[in-house]
Amino acid sequence: VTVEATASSAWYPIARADDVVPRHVYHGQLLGAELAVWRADDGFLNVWENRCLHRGVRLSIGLNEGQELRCIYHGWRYANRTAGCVYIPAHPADAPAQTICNRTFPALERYGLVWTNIGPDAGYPSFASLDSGDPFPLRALPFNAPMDLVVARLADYRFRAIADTTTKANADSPAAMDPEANARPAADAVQGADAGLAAMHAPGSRSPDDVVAQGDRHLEPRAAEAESTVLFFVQPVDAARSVVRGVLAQPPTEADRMTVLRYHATELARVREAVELEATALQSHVHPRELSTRVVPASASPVGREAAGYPVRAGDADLDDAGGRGSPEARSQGTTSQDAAVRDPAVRAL
Amino acid sequence: MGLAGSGRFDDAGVRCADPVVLDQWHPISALAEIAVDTVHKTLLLGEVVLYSIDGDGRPAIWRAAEHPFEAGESVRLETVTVRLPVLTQFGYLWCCLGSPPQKLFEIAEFDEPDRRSLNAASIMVATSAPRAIENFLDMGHFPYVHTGLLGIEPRTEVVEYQVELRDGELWATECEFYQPVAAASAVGGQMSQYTYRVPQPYVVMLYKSVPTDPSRRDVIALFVQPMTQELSRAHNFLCMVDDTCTDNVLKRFQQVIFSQDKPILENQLPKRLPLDPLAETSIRADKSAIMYRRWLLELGITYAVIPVAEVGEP
Repeated sequence: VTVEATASSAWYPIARADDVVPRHVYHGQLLGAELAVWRADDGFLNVWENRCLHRGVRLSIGLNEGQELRCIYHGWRYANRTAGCVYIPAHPADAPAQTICNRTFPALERYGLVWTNIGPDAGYPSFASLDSGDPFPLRALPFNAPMDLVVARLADYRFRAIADTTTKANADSPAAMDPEANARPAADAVQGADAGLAAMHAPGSRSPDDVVAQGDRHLEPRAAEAESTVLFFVQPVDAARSVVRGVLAQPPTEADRMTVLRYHATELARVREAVELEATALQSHVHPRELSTRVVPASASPVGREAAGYPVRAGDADLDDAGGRGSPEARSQGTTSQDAAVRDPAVRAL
Repeated sequence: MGLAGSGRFDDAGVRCADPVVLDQWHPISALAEIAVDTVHKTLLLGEVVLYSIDGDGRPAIWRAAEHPFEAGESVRLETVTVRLPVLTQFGYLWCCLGSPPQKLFEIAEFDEPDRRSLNAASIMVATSAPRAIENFLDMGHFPYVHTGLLGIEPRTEVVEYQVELRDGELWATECEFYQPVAAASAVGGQMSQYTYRVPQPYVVMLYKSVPTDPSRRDVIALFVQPMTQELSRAHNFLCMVDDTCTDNVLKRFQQVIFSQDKPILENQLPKRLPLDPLAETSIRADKSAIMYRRWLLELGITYAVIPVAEVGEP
């Protein structure tokens, strides 16, 4: 059993590196805060608070013009790197005051993910099993459940032995499941030093020793000596929602690719179903509005003066696969949570 | 979401406790859109209210809790005994949940015989009423949000204008902006002259130079119905000097304009309007918004806003 401690627990993944394509602004979410994530033409990765300083419009619906981000509302332009406002069209002859500068956060690209740290300074995230390999990020999967619950349930995630990997259909078929494997405790089933299932969470919320949940799941290799390692990072979107971002230490071979990806997608979806049912049961007595209030880890500084006082709702990020996934009550009505209105009990049934 | 009035509401949500807002007339519906002897349903200040009109044009509004009905049901209004204060004015139905003022503000142009008055649209927008009002007062967004219609680059400057409180109303005068297509009837661009007026906190109007007759001014208003603190229904009232465009052409122009504002408004955070002058970065062009926020603060309004004391608290 390998446990990888996450010394740098203030860093969280917020996007896949390839979500942040040229001239795009990605809507990130972390700990109840919204982030505008954009890559300038010089390659610099900007992670900013997702509000224009002027009238609070989301910068993620603005325009990435290569060297500047332009707000969609009044055309205010903010500079790459510094986030300083460089042009206010309503007063074209005046240089904007230097104090008009958006809040920025550090950005890091690693393991095929974009990471940021909205808390105090901390060392970069580092995982031995990924540092030595050629990390391959899986599709992100959003959960309508708080991070701690997702972490706890991912720890119970069991690997399913595949009887015959030469028949790819087996991996997708429930009939191929080995109930014995599901029942086995983790320690018994671990077959490789690096077969890990890692999860990061908020600083101070748990002791460093139990930071990483150890899993035993791996796909049966074609060659006996090969290993398949996946680490799962849990991104706390807000108090009630998370995104699970898995990273394979090595890309699957072309021949195994579909089998491996579908395998993880299917299994994670299964975990999600159970976790969300549990989360709904736990939270059924809580007013939906309370679920969307921001959370900040005890040791983290608030995201800007404004954000600290304002309830920031993070309901409509364009997470690569998360778009349109609403709260459970919204989904049950066939709507999305694009709009705060669906979370308001007064208008839920409009 | 369907339109309020034909939609259904599960729960009235959080009641309004702001006496200033409770004691005002609020718009509920255009009269022309109320089917006779048929129950309509909407939200006002977090409360479910039902309304209808009888064959003689007499309206009634009542709390759903008093006389429950489903929207679309037939109703004989004489059976509805416990009613809310009601007013019909400018072609709209108005309601008050507190102690109603004697009368509504006036629009002198409404009585001019050669004008056409109509409701361009009643559109729900997922933000607070004062955010919608402020957007209506704003000229700086014309070239960016209403590109090619109400403004266009590089003519983006907002020149100085005047703002004052006059007889308990907020007025912005001497407003001027270059507009490529200022109205449905416009041929070519013009420097539009605007006067803005906020006769009560959630109602905003503008008087705008008529493309075909510089001596007169069109009246365009937004009567905002605060459904909840963070959900509004904007009733777009027109009182136009225009003998060329059909009603549908006039409506379509306004609907295009509002459809451009709506997604911006719904991506503005926080949804309630912050009254702390330092909460957002204002510039000279925002003079009317600065005054509007100060005015709401002086009126003691707490509904659909973030009061100063609350800012900065966790």
